[in-house]
Amino acid sequence: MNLLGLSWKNIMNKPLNLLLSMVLFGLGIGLINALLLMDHQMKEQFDNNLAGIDMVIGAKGSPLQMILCSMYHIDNPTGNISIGEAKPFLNPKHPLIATAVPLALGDSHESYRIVGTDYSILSLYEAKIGEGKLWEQHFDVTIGRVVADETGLKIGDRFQSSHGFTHDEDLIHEHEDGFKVVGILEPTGSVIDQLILTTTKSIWDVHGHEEAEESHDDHDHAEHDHEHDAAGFNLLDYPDQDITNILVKFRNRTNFQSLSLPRNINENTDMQAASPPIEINRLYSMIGVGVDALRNIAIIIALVSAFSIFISLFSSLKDRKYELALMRVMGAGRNKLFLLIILEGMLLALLGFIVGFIISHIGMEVIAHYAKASYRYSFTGFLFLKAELVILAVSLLIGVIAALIPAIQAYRTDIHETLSK
Amino acid sequence: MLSTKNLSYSYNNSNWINFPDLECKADQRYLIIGQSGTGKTTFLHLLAGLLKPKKGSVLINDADLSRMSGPSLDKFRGDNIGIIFQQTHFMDALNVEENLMIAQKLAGHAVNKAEITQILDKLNIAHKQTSKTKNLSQGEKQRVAIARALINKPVVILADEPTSALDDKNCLEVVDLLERTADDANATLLIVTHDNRLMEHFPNQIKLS
Repeated sequence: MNLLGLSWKNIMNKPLNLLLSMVLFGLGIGLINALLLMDHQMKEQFDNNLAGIDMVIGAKGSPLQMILCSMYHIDNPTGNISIGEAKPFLNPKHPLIATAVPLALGDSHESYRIVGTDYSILSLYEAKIGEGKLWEQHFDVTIGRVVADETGLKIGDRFQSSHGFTHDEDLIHEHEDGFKVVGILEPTGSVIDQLILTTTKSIWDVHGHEEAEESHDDHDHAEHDHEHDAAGFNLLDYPDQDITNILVKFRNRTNFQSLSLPRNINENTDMQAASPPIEINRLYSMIGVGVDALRNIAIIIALVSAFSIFISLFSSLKDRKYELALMRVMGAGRNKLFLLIILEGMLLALLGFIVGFIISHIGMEVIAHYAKASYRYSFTGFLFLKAELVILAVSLLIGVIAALIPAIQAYRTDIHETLSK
Repeated sequence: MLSTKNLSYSYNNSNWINFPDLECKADQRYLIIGQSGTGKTTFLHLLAGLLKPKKGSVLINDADLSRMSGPSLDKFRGDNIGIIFQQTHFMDALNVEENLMIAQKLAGHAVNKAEITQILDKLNIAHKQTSKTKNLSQGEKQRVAIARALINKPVVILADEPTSALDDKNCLEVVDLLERTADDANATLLIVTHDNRLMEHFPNQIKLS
């Protein structure tokens, strides 16, 4: 039985005080820790999906919406741009642009977005084929690992696409045999895991077919013939067709001309260009207001709980003044009494931290479940950060501060006066 | 051996309480008697080093308590003096055995469970070894308090009104216990009391007035 053991027994001897302190402290710390976990994972996800993209070009509208749509695939497009207008930026010989990845959006399957694009998208996310092969023919698709796991699609399976981003039976395009799965990508941990990749022309064809049906136009099927052989397909040969966005990597991102290119596009074309890091920082700062408010509430809860630890220790001192005097009689120095109370404060804080730690990780796992269902983002409650050690240290410090005044009182215990009463 | 010389104390530096000089040998028993307000508890606290004498000295085995302070006094007290108070107080969070263990630990001794069992056995309270002290009867509490005072084999045992709240039967039992345990420990026993029932048991009486 040492001082730590005695401290432990003392706090366990007052279960109601212990419960109150643990619940209050646990809530405060739990909220702070959950915010930390969420913030970290959100930034990690956003950063992963930045994929070195320097600029996104698309239709005029909200630049943030365009970024969220084209890079994170959690929003709708701002509109389409014509290939004729975007042609200079798709030119492989552009002096400033190293990579330009065209995206044609508009359809999905079971809420997983179908992206008409070319193979250059693979290099952005360092994706490799895992099973089967890459899309070659029109209406061939190569799917991300998450899509395969969640929808159960296998190589050789066929499916019809649905218009828009949400799964709705009424919006399904009926198109011959539909899309055919020819390959599955290896998992990358980035957004490409959640995409269905196909040729741009497949997207045009799906919509062209639908528009033709809707207008009952006397449609020349030969003209609308789906060139199911993608070989030789060149986007630049279709200046009248539309795409949704272009993801751009500069040859030199610090080059002045590169830096001023987005402004030039915004000022001199009907398109808009946006820088992903700037927009994401803007998003962080918008979310940050809410996060800061929550964090402040959590800090207030933690401070209230620190006060409850103080009250708990302070009131217990009145009941335990004889105990403390007895300890002095039995040979304990003033320092030991001081340390005993400090240890009790730290133990209360530690238990509160443990409760908060468990609450935050379970809470994060619950949020992860909903985030995955709603946004296809894979958060987890089983991530443990070094910053949590800092929260532990701060919790213990709060315990020490809350116990300080009671500990000083214990230190000043007058044995004679106490035992004479 | 316990001795005092020219010991006096004042709470306000005007009304001084002067205490008689003592020369108490090991294995002897003394009764310190006096009416309320004669300074019995003050005297006991001075002997235990719980109060620092304003004048005079307290010596236990040649160590002058009046010259000690801080951790050395605390250590000396835990090691050499066993005190039994009128009101029995314990660490409520601990059981009987743990209360004795903490007494060993705080005095800087190694925890010795065998000794604890032995002393509780001697005091016929071994069956309550794992009971919480709040669940003990008054008589059982008194025995545990005696066990705690003796667990570190003190050279001086000081008892403050140990029988004032007890009926005659229990009073005799406690006196007998104190005498036997002091004999076993070869310790000097001083009982501060105004309980006249103890007079016939202790021929060495020091009267405070």
